[in-house]
Amino acid sequence: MIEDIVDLELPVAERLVIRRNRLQNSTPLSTTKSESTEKLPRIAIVTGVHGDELEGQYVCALIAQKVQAEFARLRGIVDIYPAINPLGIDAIERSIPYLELDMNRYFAGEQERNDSYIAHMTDSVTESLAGADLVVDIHASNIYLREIPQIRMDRNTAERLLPLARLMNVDFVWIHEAITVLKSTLAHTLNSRNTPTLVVEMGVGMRITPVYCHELVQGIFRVMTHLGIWDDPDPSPVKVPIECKEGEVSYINSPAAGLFLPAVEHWIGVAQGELLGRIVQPLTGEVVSEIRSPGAGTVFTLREYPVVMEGSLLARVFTAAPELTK
Amino acid sequence: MKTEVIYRLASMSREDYQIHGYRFGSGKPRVAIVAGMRGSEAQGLYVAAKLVQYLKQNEQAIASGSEILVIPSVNPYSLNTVHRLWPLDHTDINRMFPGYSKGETTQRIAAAVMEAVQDYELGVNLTSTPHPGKHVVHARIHRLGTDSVEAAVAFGLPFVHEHEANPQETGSLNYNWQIWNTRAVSLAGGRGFEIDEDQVLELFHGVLRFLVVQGVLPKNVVPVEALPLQHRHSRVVQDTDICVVTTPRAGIFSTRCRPGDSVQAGEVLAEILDPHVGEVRYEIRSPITGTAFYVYRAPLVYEKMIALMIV
Ligand SMILES: [Zn+2]
Repeated sequence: MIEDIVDLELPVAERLVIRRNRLQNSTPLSTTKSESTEKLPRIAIVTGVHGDELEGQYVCALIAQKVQAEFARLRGIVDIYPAINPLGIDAIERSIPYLELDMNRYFAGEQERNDSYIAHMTDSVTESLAGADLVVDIHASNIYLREIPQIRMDRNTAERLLPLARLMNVDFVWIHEAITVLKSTLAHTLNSRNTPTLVVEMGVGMRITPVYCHELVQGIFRVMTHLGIWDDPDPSPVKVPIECKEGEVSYINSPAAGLFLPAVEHWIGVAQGELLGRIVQPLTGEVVSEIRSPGAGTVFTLREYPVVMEGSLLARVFTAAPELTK
Repeated sequence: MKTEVIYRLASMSREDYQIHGYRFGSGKPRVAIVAGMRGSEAQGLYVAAKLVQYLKQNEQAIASGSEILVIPSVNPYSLNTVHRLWPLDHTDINRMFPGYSKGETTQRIAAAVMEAVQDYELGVNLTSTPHPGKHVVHARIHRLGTDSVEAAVAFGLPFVHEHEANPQETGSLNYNWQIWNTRAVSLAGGRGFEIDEDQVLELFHGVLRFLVVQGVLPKNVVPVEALPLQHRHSRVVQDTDICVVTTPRAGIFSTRCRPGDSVQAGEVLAEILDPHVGEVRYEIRSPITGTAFYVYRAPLVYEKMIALMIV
């Protein structure tokens, strides 16, 4: 059932609509249970808060296809929200077009919001998601950086979220410190309202990485089985993610401006001092800098967008478990 | 006047990015004035340029032992491309404070600006809001200390908006100045990407008045409009004093109301028109009698946008 979660008038012959596809099977798992009094377990797949991130679009399509193809296995509710920022997706803009504001900084209810239609959208989305057994908010990094499939969580939520994250078939779980500006994200808002929400970051902006999407879909069905939403007596095994804490990540920021040409593959083990890439000046051909790994570890973030300035992030290296290769 | 390059960065394709500073007087760092942090803030750039011109001509009048620093454009790269945010990664320098000298590009810029301005007793940021409409000229402060209210009223502008910082604003220069014990005031007005000559003069005179009140400039060198007179006292408003009027419909936004206008309760201030057949979809009336603090100013408006703020 396709429902409009938000329906706002736009100035010229159009409406701003945020849609949800609710896939629901009320058939009880055991015929002896009373179906009407039972609250159905519910998972929500949310993506497109950032209009330039597309990996989640394909994940939504794959989940909708599989649930409908194997509908008899559904034991609850799967809600699919592919486009939280529909105008941004259409305009290839990360932010909300026109006001140029990052929607994922306007979810917290207690703070001042710049325009009330944004508050209306974020509040309506939050309300419709609250109470789900799990929300998966899928992000695709940005256009600058390629990320290995990972789940990020704030230290304060780790106790509750880690057992679920471990089922998601991702390579990496990054447990970071609580950050003030992230208080107004969708995930923080829902987690603080007691609706467990996992943030997935994977791939790169404006592109689809099919292999990552298929891996994540496998994880989502695994977690659905765990939550009693999907009937699979023999679920296929999932990857055991590397769990990474603050202090185990080295950030490599560019020391110069130019074109960044990586010398390593993404998600590969590197030795201390190993060449990660070069910065080249196109006008002269000069190699202005050679970028070397500050320690042994695994490159889990790698610059994708070639133009850099001093300070641009080039790579993140997880330094606690060296020598990992894919 | 001493000029200096406060920070410099190389670019692959453009000329080096540079932040220029202009220093007047000598001695104790009294006042730092920062403008042009976003590409939409040309009005503040203009006010700062007028201040540099003025202080250059009147440098001998600056109280002895007082130093003033003016940075007219923190962000020439965005001003020159008419782009509100940092061109390469769309980040906002004014959300990166206190900055980090080993971090991302705009964190490094914020760190360099912070280092240059953090020891000043008083900080002024000529800034803007992201709203797509026009504000009256006002001083904006965060509720971190009462000292800033006193500093803000010294500009003699019609309003002081005492605003509670949201999580994003903890990354602003104003907020971080206060953390570092500088009394900080942001001056805002107008609309991004536009210049209103009357507001430029109002802001310019407001800063001169502030410098007189702070004892940095003597009364006899400033124009009469900049003198701190009794009748120029600011009305201090809190977030909760601002009556926000939103649009229940979308369409063409038609108004003759201007920020600063006196308005009556029930008065029709704007109309929302059907963009195809011209019919009035909605009449926006003022819910209270007061002054228009902000008026939406763009041809088309969405449903549930802020049309007006009345105080
Ligand atoms: Zn994102």
